[in-house]
Amino acid sequence: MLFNSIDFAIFMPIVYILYWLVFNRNITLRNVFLLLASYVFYSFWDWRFVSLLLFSSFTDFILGLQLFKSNYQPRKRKLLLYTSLAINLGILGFFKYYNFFVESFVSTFTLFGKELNYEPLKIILPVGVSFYTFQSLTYIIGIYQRKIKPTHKIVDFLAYVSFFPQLVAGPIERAQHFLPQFLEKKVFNYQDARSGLLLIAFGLLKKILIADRLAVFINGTYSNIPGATGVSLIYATLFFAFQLYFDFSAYSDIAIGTARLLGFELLINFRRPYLSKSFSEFWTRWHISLSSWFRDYVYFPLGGNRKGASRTAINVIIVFVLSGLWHGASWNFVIWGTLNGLFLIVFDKLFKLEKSTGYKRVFASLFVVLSWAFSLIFFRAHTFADALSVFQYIGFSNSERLYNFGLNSLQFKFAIYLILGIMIYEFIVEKAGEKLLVSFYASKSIVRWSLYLVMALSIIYFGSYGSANDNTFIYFQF
Amino acid sequence: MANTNRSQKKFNQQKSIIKKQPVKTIYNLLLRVAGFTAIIATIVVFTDSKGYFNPDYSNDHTRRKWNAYYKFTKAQPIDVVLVGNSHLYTGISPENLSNALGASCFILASPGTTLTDAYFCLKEAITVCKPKIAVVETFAMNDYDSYKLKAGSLSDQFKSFSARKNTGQKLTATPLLFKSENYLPAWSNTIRDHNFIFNDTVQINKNIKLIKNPEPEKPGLYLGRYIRFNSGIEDSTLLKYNKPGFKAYDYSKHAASEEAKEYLQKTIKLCKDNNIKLVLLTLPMYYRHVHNYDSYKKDLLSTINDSQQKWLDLQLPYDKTAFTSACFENTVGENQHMTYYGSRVAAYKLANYIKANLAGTLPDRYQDVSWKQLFYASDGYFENYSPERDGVSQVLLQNAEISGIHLNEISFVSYDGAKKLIVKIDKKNSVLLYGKSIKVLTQSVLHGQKVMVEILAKCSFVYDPGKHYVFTSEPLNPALTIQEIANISLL
Repeated sequence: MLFNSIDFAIFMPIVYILYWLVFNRNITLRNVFLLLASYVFYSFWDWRFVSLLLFSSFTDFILGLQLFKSNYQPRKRKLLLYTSLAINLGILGFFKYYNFFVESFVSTFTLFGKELNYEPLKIILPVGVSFYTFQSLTYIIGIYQRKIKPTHKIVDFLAYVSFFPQLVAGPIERAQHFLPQFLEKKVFNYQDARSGLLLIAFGLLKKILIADRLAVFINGTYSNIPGATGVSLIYATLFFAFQLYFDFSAYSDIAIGTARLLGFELLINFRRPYLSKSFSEFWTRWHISLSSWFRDYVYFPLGGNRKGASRTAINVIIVFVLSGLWHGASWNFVIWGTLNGLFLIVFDKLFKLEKSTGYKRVFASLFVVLSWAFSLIFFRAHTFADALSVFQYIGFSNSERLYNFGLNSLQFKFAIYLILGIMIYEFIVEKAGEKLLVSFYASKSIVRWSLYLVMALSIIYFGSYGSANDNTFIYFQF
Repeated sequence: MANTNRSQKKFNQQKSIIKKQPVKTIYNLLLRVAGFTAIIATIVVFTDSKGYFNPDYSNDHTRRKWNAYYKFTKAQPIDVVLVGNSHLYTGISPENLSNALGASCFILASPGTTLTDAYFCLKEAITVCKPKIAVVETFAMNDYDSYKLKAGSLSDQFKSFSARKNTGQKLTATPLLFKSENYLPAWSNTIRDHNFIFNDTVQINKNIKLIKNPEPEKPGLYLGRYIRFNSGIEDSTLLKYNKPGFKAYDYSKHAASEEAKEYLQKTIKLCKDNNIKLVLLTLPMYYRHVHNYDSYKKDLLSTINDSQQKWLDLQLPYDKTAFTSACFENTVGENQHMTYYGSRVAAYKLANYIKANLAGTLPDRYQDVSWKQLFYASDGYFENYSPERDGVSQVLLQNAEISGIHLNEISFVSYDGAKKLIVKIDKKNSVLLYGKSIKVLTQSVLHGQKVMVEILAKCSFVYDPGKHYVFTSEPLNPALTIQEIANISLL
């Protein structure tokens, strides 16, 4: 079920009313209800894969309890940890990477003149598998590291893994932060509900008004790269950086807002990343829940930056390659990850980006965004050959063809104004911080309701939606 | 520093304003959200009702059909309702069918529709005015479900849905006709066509003008017909059928979907429940166009599971004499429609089938003056009935014997801006006259000059009212007036 669908618009109010008015009287009852709602939510995509979700969560629930029981048996604890890793990463590996690795293996043999026959398996990638396996792993690793205690109530754990607002595309929550929220009594808070609704509306605005409009142009150019020769590809490359941001941050906003409506607080996933002055700062602002997951569970265990400069660089590259692979089973994502690792290692130091201030800071931010947009060519292109085609055909010619890719001049300009508008808003938020929201909520109700009305009507009258549009979220494919 | 302090003070004040706001419950929130949603919905309904985002209705014949149906039924009952897709509205001439049956027949077919949509069309048609007979064309039994409609067909389904007016029925039909993502677009032109703001402001301006000056309705009798093809299959196209292994339309690849079968059964039940006689109609495509139809037919027969169900199948057995290549659109593409010529042939086939199989079901509206006024001079009227003193048409001869053949009538009538000679010969003569011609020598007046004019009238399958053969001439000069018949000879 998509957040920007009529299904969700019907589903959510029903869940919300039942949640607060019927099931919130008792914690277990409430969690059972949340679990059922989450499974219904997931079933809208493909009910068969609910069993996989159930299997994965159930295994980790049992392993978590066993881990806790074998407190003084280090070998058994390790074995249990590895079992969980093997099962979770095994599921992920099979569904996401089986064909990729076998195809790469076959291609390597072909390179050496040995032809191997291989028919790729027709495997459907379960939606959200990369997210919920990582979330489930934080529980097992947390118990192993003795940072948390396991829950003895299976319902609480299943509800934690499958919590529908963030089940499909995150934010990837840590057990130590999120699981306790399932054990506490929830009291309805009007201010939270109000801010949750505003976040949802803002997310929908970013998704429907901007990201999906940019998608039309980007899909048009990337499906006909030679036809888009010239400046269209420059715009497509820049637009994709914004599409990806608005699309994914919109999902996170809606997820956080929805969770807040139910009395849960999720991690912030984006913190105005395009205002970063360096690559290292960028990765503390972009997809924070995943970046910090890799930092805590891969980078630090590898030694982080404690073993010298060259080892730090290797660790960074390992993390970014893995992060690339996490996004998708293709060499394009590996290249994308590697490039971003290299940007961080090379450019941050070379240009001393961290230290830039004043006007230099503006240029530093622009440099970060442009480099990021460049790397995203590999992210967006379907194949490596497509990515190379983009480099081959990109340029400043054929500006007259700019409006041949799904957006007419009015829509094109509108998209640019919207991007600029959101970026100015982000700049103000960056400066004003919490004050902006506080002064908004303290303002007269006519001001607030007018803004709500403008947001809702803008989505309806100026949104890019309809049967001809692809309105799925980009991160659903991961 | 002073500025920072002031700003911090203001921030604290604002925080305390929020804190001081009265504690609100979930009911407060729900009430506000409901109110807000209602305001948004009202705005959308307002722009819908004003029609700012209406598509170009000037070419929307589905809407025209429904509007005409609602209007027609206010004055006259409809006796036969026909539902289906484009094969039906190009394949049956409703005027000829009505005149042949002496009843009011109306086509409520939409292009590219599914049987599910046809079912709901029939349901609404029944609610508006219960017909005696319903005809369902089977080509709407698609091999795909409503949920799998592609953009073009989906747009046609939107049109069909939006043209209907019964809110209750539309509400129940919505989840059965559309994917959930299309619920709102189905109900609201604002939602569906909001993109006009960016890509069709011309249409928005046109709609605004239409609010002030609505377009006048097209005059005349309109029963849902749509003449799309006037010429038949050309010889060069016919040659394509000779290509070895070529199958223009292979029914084995288009087995009716489970949804189509389900809605066929529902349609049968709907008619039974409403005491309406149901006729299934399969309009033909050119016999060389179609392959493996028999297996499709068997499949449908097993779905109907009722040997009593009336089914006029014009595809199998195929009447090669009547359905010549002139009856079909000049294409070897999958969707081969009928020409105007073919639609008249099929209309009489259907009329004769109804007369033979459902005798007594329909009233004889020819006796009804208001019906006669409506249908007088419409397409096929004079082929079935005698002209009256209308100042243009003439009855030249009635009940005469020529070469031992009883001749019912010779009339000279107006026809589509021209004139036409019609000769009716009783079928009781037991002579097969299809394909024959009659030569009528007349003393006529043209532009004030007396002239002898020889008119040739042919007996084709186009008009076959059952009771008599119809010989018709080619369109003649409208200035021609016949004074008397000098000679008649059967060729």
